Amino acid sequence: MSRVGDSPLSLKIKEHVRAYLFLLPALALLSVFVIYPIAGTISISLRSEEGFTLGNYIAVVTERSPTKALIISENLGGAPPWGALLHNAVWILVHVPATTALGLVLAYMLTHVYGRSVVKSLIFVSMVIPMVVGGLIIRFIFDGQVGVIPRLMGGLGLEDLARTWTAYPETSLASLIIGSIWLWLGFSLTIHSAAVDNIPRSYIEAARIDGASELQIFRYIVVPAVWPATLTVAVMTLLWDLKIFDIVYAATQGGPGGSSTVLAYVMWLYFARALDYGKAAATAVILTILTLVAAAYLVRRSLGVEKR
Amino acid sequence: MASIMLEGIVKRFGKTVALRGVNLEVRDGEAMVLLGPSGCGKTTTLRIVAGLERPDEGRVVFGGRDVTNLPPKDRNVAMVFQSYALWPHMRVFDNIAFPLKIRKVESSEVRRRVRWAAELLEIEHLLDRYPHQLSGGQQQRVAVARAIVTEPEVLLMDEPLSNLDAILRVKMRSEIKKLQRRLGVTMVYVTHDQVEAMVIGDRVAVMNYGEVQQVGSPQEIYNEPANTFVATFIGSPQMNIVKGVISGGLLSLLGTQIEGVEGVEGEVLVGFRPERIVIGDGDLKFPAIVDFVEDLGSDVIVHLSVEGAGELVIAKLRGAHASLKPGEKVLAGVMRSDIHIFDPKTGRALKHGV
Repeated sequence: MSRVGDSPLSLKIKEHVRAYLFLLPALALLSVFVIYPIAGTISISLRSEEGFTLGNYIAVVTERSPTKALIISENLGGAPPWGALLHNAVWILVHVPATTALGLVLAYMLTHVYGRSVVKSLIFVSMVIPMVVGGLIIRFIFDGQVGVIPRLMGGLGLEDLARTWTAYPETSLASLIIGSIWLWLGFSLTIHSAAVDNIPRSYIEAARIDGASELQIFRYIVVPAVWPATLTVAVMTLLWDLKIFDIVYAATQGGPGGSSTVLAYVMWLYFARALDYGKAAATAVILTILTLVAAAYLVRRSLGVEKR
Repeated sequence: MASIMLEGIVKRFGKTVALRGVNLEVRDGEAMVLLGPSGCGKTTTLRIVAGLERPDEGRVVFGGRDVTNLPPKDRNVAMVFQSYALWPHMRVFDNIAFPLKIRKVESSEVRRRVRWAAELLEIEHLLDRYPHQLSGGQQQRVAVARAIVTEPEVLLMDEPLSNLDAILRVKMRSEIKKLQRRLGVTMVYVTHDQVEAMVIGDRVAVMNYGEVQQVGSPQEIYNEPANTFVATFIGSPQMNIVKGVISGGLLSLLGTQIEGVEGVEGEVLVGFRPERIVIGDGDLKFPAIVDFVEDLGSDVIVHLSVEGAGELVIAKLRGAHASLKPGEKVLAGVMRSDIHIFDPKTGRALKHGV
């Protein structure tokens, strides 16, 4: 005797209903604290006096005043006429390769060094200090009177670089980017160290017996072996560079003359200084979309790795 | 010319002494097996030959050339690792070709040599695969192909078969032996498996406690063990060793006696192999009670307890003796030529055959 209610289809539906029942509490929380704010932000960004338009977006992107420009800025002299978004782009182009490569090379070099855990811990300190403090430290590092870098440059006879970097439009962005390499190196080094430690010793010994030099071992064995970690570090660094705010706020406030502003800082200016919530929301949405592209890659890759 | 001489090699790791003066000569074109229990120093010895470890004392000489302080790449050695150490991001072809590319061999020559090595090991059809797509046995072949592709003077193998299943291990050990003969390469092979050692080695160096206990052909090691360690480590089940006394040429053991044992006096250890025990025959016969019977089909392992002497003797008999029952009384015997006499203090062999 078969019961009508037990057909495969209705069983499947029952399964689904049960699954959603378990998901309900999490979904409820997500809706209130994630989905609703996102929808709200998008809605605010699209609203203006003429109703629902893209007006806020157009205004934000074409803005040319030095402190709020996203693409082209009409700042006067010193720095190139770049807006905040281009600053982010330069930041990424310099910071991602520099931090990733430096972390990888250091991680491998440290495997040969006695007392490596001490060195690693010291570098990792930059990861645990709050980024706002990190921003202040950057100001000190590049200070004309007491900073390490300007004094070094002065010693080398480079008078133009022997002054307070954060105070001049030519050098403000560079000081932030170099500072961020130091701040973020701990992350890159830690992830790469774990990956390097995971390489079976026999991989390296086999290459050594086959006649490979240290450089060849690094190039042909170590780099490919830690490549997944390197990609993760690169994408995480890129995400951080897109969202970067705190060290800019603490070190230069985007100045002087908008020469070191970034996307998140412009968003904050619209929100907290200009009280223009529509434009602030539009900037936020642009920032989110850019971040999502990078994050989507990361998520897809990590899911793909798990499947294999 | 690639004979290998190890002279007084000492190696310490912190406070532990891994090798305490290893002397060993491997002749050109010879297959030398380092055999011993884990922790005996055999792998450390191999790594010192490879140049992966530096000895604290002693010299490593390859064909008259002192290589003690040379890095691996200047020694013209190749090595097969226990874990195979195939690089997962390279295809099989690139794994095998790597040592050639490092030596800047021209690419057409690289292809020719890789194909040659792959054919020898019957893995031509796997060249496009990645290591994780291969079975353990196939990975092992790739590792061997990578090792021979440069035609090294010295081939080192660190327990290369220990990760394979039993059937494959038996097949591969004879293949490795044939390959070594065919290439005429000097080989040092590390294993803890005595059967593998006997099959592969032209000579076997039995190691324990960081020292070479005995070097010899499989026959020598088996028939004339230098001490009780070698005697009990080689052969399965292990050699029976019982207490005995010799006075005036009369050897007393297991409640019985045998005359005409010359040259040794006093308390001794007497050894004889389980497979040399016969029932009801032999120059030395002793009565015993069957304690336990392990029927292996082809053979029977019989545990015999010797009355009065309080000793347990293991005998390996033909399958025909499977009908023996615990509690049964038997007369076990050994030939004079199968009896070994050892010094009870040092364990050194005093006499093979009495």
